[in-house]
Amino acid sequence: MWSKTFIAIVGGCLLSISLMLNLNFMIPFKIDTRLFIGLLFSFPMWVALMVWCYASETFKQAFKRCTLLFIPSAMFNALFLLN
Amino acid sequence: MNKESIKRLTLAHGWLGLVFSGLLFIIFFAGSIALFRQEITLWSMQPHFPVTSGENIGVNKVLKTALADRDYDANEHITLILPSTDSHYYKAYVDIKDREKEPHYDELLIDPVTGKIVSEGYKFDLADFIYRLHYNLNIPSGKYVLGFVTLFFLFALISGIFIHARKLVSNFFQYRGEKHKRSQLLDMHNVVGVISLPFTIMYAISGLIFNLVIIYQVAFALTVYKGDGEALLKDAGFTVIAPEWLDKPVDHVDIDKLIAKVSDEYQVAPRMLTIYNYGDESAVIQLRSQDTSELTTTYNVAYSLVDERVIMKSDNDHPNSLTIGTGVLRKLHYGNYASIDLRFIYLLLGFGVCGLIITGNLLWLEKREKMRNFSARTLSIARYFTVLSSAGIIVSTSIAFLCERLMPVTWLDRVELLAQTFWLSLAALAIIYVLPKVRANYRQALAVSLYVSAAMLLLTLLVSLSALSQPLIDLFMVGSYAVFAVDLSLFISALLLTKVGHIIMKKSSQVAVKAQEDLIPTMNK
Repeated sequence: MWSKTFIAIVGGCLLSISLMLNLNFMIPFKIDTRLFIGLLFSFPMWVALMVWCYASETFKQAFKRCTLLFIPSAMFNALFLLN
Repeated sequence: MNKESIKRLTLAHGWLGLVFSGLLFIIFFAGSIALFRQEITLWSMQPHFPVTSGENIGVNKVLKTALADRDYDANEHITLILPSTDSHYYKAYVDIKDREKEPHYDELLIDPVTGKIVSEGYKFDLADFIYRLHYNLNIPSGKYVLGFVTLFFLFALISGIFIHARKLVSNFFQYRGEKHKRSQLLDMHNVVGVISLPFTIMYAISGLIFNLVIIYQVAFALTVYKGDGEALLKDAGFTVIAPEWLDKPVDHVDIDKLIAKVSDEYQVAPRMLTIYNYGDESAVIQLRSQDTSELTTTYNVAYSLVDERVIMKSDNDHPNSLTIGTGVLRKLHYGNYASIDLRFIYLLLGFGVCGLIITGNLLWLEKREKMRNFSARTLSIARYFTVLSSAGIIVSTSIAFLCERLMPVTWLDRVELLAQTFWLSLAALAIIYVLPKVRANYRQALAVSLYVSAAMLLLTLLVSLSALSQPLIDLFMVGSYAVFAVDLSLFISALLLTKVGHIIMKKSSQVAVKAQEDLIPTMNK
């Protein structure tokens, strides 16, 4: 269980940042509203990912789950940032 | 979610809950008391100073008194907090030129009727100490430590929902009082957890935003804003007011007139004024309201002091979603958007969560005590930390209350002494709880701790009534009841602590008798 804590904290944090960046680029509101929505949803997103990690069978499975979600999300981040 | 996943979540819920329970208890216990920090500050301070009644002399004269014979730093800022129901006096914070030691400013309490300085220096720290304990433990970087504790608290809440989901509705009112002890604890944990869920989720998310926002702030500044942190802050509605010093002295500016104008415009008087570059042509005044009757913040405006030109305006006509949103979250968190009844509901829920934390730990202990191969040392450590982080904090807090009342107001280092008393009490209890005789019966230790807390609170009340009887009568005569309300709360708390301590002591005796009865047949064999 303790090994999953590492991926839950670090992986959850990175993934939530990446997902929030995508959300920030996609939602059609003014910047202050987008920032507030991002702020409001980022921590629950992080915790949801933590739950997903702890529900995994092993550290390896948790790592795999986070990585598989992070790769496409990071690609979208790159796409949005380059544009 | 399948059964195996729920099992893994239950394991994580239990272990992480236990590991972070001590700090979580501090957060909720201190936070619940800190809901009334204005009243506690009044209780600490008001009986030591006279209460005058009459016409308010206004900010111009107060400012003159605050700055007279003081080598203030005009390049810095002067802050004034205006009198309200929370405080009878003007509070002034004046930055002093080239002061090497901290604080670099003078803190003054100024009577709004006589205009005299009633107190200099920061002396009444009890309420703020408890409040800081709630959000940063009074230690450097404590804010981030508690931020991560809050993260795991939110995890415990969400995982708790998954664990309890199937019985969430059917077992909502279930409490098996007469049956097995584990069922009692589990029902208590579940019922308090479910009832307080909207409150705890709001607290966890807002607490995370206050303490760990820096993570997302840095990430957004580096990516979306390409390293331009100032642009991010500007979009977020945080305007930095830093007027350039022009070195053109201005004699007199009528601040009262400006306050009247702003109060008239918004129909709410400002609560806090910050004056930048006072005495220079570049001087700017920032006025902020603190309306406790509604959720949204009314205004935060800045004007040039010389020509009343608008420098910055954030109000309901010029809104910024992030500023308003975080303002709403702050009010939701502090419960200061309605009358005092709401804060009592928050208080009950906060103490309910303290119960939730303790029952969670007891459940964990009960389960592991039955496991044959489980480490006795781990169990002993878990029991020790449960008692220290709950009873230890309660006793230390009540000693801090007594200390605040006993210390003469003339003592300059009473702020440091209060903090030292709290931490020394906790350290002493940490040693006492580790003694073999105490470890042999933690229930009894818990009960005795609650009795000690009750005695401390009653002693505090006794000191209040004997040493400060005349000021208390004077306060009552002018209709200032906050001090009495706090004294009454201390009395009720003492009664409750005695009652709970009595119940625990009774159970402890029953357990001891049962253990002895179990031991006799074994010995006869």
